[in-house]
Amino acid sequence: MKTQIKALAIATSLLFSASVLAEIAIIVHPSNGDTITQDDISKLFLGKDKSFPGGAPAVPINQGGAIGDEFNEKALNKSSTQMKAYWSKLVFTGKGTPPKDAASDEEAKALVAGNPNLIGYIDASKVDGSVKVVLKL
Amino acid sequence: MIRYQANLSQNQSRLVHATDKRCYSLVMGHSMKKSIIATALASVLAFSAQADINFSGFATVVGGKTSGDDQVFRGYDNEFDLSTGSLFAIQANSDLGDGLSATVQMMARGSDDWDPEFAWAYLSYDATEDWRLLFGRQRAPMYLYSDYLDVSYAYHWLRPPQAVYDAPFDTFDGIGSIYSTTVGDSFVTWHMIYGINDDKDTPINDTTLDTKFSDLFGGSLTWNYDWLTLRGAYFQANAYIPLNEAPAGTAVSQIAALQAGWATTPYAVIADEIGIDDDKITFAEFGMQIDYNDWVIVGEITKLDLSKTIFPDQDSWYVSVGKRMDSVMLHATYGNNKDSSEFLVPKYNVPFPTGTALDALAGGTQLVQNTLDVDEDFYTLGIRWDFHPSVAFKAEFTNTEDDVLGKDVKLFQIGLVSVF
Repeated sequence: MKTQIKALAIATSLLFSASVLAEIAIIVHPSNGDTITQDDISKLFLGKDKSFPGGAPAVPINQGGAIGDEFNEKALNKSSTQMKAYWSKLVFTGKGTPPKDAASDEEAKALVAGNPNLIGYIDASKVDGSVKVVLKL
Repeated sequence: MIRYQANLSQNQSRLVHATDKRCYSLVMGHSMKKSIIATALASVLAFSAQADINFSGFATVVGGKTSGDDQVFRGYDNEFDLSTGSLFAIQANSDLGDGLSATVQMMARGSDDWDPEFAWAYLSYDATEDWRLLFGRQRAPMYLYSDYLDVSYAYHWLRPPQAVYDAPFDTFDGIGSIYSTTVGDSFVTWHMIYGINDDKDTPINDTTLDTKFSDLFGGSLTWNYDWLTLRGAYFQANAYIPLNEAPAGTAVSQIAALQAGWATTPYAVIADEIGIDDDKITFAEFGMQIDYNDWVIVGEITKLDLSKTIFPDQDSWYVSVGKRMDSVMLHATYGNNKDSSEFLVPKYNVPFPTGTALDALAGGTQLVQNTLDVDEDFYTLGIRWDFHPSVAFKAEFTNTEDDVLGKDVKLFQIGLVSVF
């Protein structure tokens, strides 16, 4: 009986999270031909790497809010609090600057569509032909 | 980090230039110093008229008290005190283009009566994508947490273990070079510095003195692979500490009296040993940090060699373990700090006791060196609770057992820490 309740609880929580969490698309300019892995994405968004695998300079664009939290969890394996602590170590010591935040999926998409050096992320349902999806999380 | 943008308007910029001219005409007058400051400010403002300024900051508001009636420890006593460990800092940073940026960090500490001071003030230049040079006032990266020592939000304690983190100074004026690059799956940072620290009131034992640490040179090498960070550091400096400027009645003034006394004896070499005038001091550190899933394990071992001064060598270490549970983290730390002197009287075979005037000097020196020696074990139990996106609550209990002085001090602290 106890096991059954537990199993049910897990199933419910899985269903629940599936319905709440949308898929995130990592996007670049359509002219960017690089193969970009999750590891590359993590290095770029943590400021540990500053160029695409092909060598071109890369500028990550973050987002605040729920999608930002979700990206931190899925791509960087860190909570938003941990990310804030991580960047405060770099910002206040001259070692780095956090990525700029886009205000919305639309803004992130427009920025990336207009600049081959940018990499960002948006809700996968908002993707259109102006950007190229390199990975879905 | 919430980042505010400030942009001066054209009008303000013109105004600044007008002020600029007036200032130059005043130079040579007796208000020269004032006008130089005004000119400097005016040119900074005029300069920033073309660039965006990002503001960010951090704060710690912490209160604490010791348990015993007569226990005074790290600035705390038996009365609950909200100023000793509290601090506010604001940082302004401006990207000037072409890889150059200017950063100023003003910090006000409760322990300094909230007198704001420049903790950092530097120009940085990105020579390459991996290599950044810093010119100006910055932090000497001595310990694992040195760089962001005051940014309590960035780590689990209210402050890293103070029995270990007790170098006499932490900032310097000079040049820093930070080279960081990825090597395979790991990330390596090589931070070198050269400069000088010329603080006017450095805490030395029970007083503050106008010290100088020149030719400060050294660096740290940090290797990070995902969940594992290893770090080593080495620094050296030439120290000038004017013991004879200590106010009468302090322990340091007694040391100065001993120095003056020995100078008149055949053992003048002991006076040289006591005095700190261009004496080389060295510091070495090794640190390790594991951040794996919900567990954090940190450890550091340090060695401060002051053997050419009256002050004892310091050997210290700690290990800290923390466990994250959603927004709460529980942590425990254990460590030891051992300060040990090389006793000067036996070192120079000074006969003691002899029944002569030398006895007072020899006895006094032995006593002082005994008093300076410390062997303290400490443990800290604490909690961090991230109840807000930018603010964390922290509470800590630290027990320090000092074997040499035979005392056992308990310190309770609670606080809020923030970045903004």
